[in-house]
Amino acid sequence: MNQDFVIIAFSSTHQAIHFEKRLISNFAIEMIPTLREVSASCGLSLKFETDDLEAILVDLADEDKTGLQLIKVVNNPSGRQIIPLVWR
Amino acid sequence: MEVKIDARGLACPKPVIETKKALEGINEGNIITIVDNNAAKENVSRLAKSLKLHYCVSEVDGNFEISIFKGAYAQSSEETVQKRPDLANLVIFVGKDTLGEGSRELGEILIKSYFYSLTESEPYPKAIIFVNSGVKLTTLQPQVIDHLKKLTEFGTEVHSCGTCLDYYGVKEMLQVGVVSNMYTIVELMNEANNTITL
Repeated sequence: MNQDFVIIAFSSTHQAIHFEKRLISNFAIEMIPTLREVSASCGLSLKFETDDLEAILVDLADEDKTGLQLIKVVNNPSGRQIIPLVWR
Repeated sequence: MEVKIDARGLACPKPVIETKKALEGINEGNIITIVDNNAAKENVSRLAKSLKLHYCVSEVDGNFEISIFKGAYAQSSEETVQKRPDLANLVIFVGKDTLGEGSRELGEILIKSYFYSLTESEPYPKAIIFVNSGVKLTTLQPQVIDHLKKLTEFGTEVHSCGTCLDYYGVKEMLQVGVVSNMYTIVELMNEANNTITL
């Protein structure tokens, strides 16, 4: 089971590719299929370590985040917990 | 009966062919194939495994000796292989380094997503075979390699076509699984209950 992590779920594939290009040189990110528990997206999410959340939020400060979901994924022994976070 | 085959210096897949011929020529006994490289050792070992014959490998003076026992000497290697009861005999055949047709950029994203999802979906496949530009995934694509390594921990075999690795000049860069020849690929697909081609 993966450790806890954060995802950005996109509503557009081109938007996902744009964000990946922007972040990939500075952060350990991975494009993954959007988790089944998270709906209303194009099917792609960017996954990264919780520790990188603050720095990524700073990096993306000037981006339009309309339609994007920021979600913390916590892996418990009993199952996966999806926690929506608020964009700042 | 004991038969020795000196397959040193023979190009792939000759050592496998010679060993197979020798095994077909005896009802019971021991075939010892001597090879001088790791890929040949792996391929001959896999032949024994696929035939469900007991075998052992020893290293002598920089060469490898693979002893295969047939007939009264034979044991089922299947018993020694830990298998999950729900593990279907599924083989996935990957013929290129992207998923689907159309945009290469999108295809690269989709193939990474595919292998990510595969690590989270049980039952895991018995084997994944990479041919043609598919071998770029087992050599040059770190994210896919990480997912494949995870799958191998669950018992999935990862096979990359040796001819293809050589063609693309990435033979020395293989990061996960083993180098296979077309005999192994054909056997895996023939023995599979189901083969999915990407």
